[in-house]
Amino acid sequence: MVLLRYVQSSRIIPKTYYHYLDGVSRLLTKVDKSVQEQTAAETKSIGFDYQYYYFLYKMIQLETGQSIGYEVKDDVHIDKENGKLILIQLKHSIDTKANLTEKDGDLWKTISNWIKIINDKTQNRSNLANQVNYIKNTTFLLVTNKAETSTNKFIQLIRNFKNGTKKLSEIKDHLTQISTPAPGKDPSVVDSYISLLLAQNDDWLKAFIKNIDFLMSKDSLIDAIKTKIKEKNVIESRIDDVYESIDSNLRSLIYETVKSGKKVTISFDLYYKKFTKFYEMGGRRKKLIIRSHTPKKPVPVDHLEYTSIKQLVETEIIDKRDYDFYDELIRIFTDKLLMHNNEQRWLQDGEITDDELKEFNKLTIRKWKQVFDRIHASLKQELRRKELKDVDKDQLNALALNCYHDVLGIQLTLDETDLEVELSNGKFYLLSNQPVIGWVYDWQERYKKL
Amino acid sequence: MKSYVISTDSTFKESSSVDSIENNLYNNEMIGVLSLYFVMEKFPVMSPSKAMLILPLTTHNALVSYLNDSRTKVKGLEQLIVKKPEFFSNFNQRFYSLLELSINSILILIKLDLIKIDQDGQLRINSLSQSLFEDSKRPLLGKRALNIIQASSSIADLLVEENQNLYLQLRVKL
Repeated sequence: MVLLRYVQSSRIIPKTYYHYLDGVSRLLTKVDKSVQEQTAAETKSIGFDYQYYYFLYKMIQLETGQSIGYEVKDDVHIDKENGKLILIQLKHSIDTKANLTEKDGDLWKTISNWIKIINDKTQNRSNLANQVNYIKNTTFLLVTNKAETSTNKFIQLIRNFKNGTKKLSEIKDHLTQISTPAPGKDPSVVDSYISLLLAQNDDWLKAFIKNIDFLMSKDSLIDAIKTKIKEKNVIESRIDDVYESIDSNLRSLIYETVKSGKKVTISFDLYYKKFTKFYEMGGRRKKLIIRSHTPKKPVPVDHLEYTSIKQLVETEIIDKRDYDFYDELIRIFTDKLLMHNNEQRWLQDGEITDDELKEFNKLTIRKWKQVFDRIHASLKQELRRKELKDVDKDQLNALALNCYHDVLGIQLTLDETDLEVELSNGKFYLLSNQPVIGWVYDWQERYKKL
Repeated sequence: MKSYVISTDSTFKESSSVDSIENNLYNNEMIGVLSLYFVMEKFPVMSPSKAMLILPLTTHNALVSYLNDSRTKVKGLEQLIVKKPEFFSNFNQRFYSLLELSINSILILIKLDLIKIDQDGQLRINSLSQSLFEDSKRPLLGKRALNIIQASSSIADLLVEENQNLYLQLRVKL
């Protein structure tokens, strides 16, 4: 079948859509494939592919001061702290027995891409010195799932050049030989790529060959990723969860970045900020358990002795002439007790610590203060020219009333749990009972015990 | 109204009055002293840094109950963390919150001559002193303390490993 031949050929399968090939390939004709190839090559579709997973794999190994890019300077690139750069090309073959031969199309397309990048005039690299300088600060890495083979003399020669056992001239001779077509035949595309390399200056070539590297048989990326996660001391049972969280969040991050027209570059700081939480000790209920059943208690007989009630009655915020006075009292005491009991329960169960509760109290008082100060701002200005005793009592009470109702609208949060209205209100009643907060302007003078 | 009664009783009810914003006395020096002493009875020589890990474990009621349950058999701290991550999710915060209490409790035990610090800086239980509280008087301590005493050998077993490993597993931020 035409299709099988297609799949088994050594042609580059555009990596953005090889996953379609697996299941759907049997249904495709050669014509359909070309169209798909076209559109896939043009779209920057982010899918589950080799390049992406390699990117993830390297991202979780970022060190301080490094950044990693996705389809910015190369398929994947890493900027190191010392100004050095690693350019990474990913080449995947779905043929699991594929070898990286010395005239492999992937290999030479990659090298030709790199040549173009190095000699890029627009990047101020049109003269030899700049080019060589750029090469010396860059590592060129080809990552592929194809396997190494002993028939690839080119790679052998590169290794030998690096350790000093072969000279550049030997590499050039060998390349010239393999790229010369048989008599009567035209040079192939790969031949032209090899010629392009051979056309470079010797100094250029020496620097380049020193800095070129290959990572072969690199597959099962997902296993490799999970191993890295484990190496960060994540316990076995959580590794899959951590992997899935990082994966889905990274994909969203890339999607949002590309959508807004920006380049996908992730610095160590950004990675640390956004992804550390997924490694954290898990199994934690996100929210505190709120116990809404509280033993019913009757409103205390001496309710008027409670400071929280005094603050309300003496400013006429609530009054026994109101039709719902007793209902209000019940509500106030119930809310207060509910909040107190929950707080105590959380403390005793070790769900929150004393310090967290103290912080919570401080924050709550701050929120009250914002409202209190806002409501009484004008009065405060007046009191620069007036005495408090000369202020109309009704005015003071009206301000207290507004303050009270505004504060009751505040929703509090403790340990990432939103406390709904009864608990939030209960907290303010508790605080107004000590009292550390109040409603009327001079609440401190009136109610605060010394 | 402030409550000054130090209680070892297991109580969910108001151990501090409704209107108090002062330090919660639920985790107090008495519980601290008892926890440390009874765990050290089973683990006679330990470094102070290991000792700091005891209170965050013993003051967690659910953890103590779980260890006391006859059905559970825990083979080590790592396994326990895997099985019951909810007991450890805020271990770091509990550790720092109880640090002062741990130190105070150690100092009290030293003053009471129940433990001492030897030349290597290790805490050593004083074998010459009698066991704290004879069995007949124990029920006076209250349920919570009794549960902790019952769990003390399990807790000692959890702390067998090297300190670095323990701190790493428990994710204490140093």
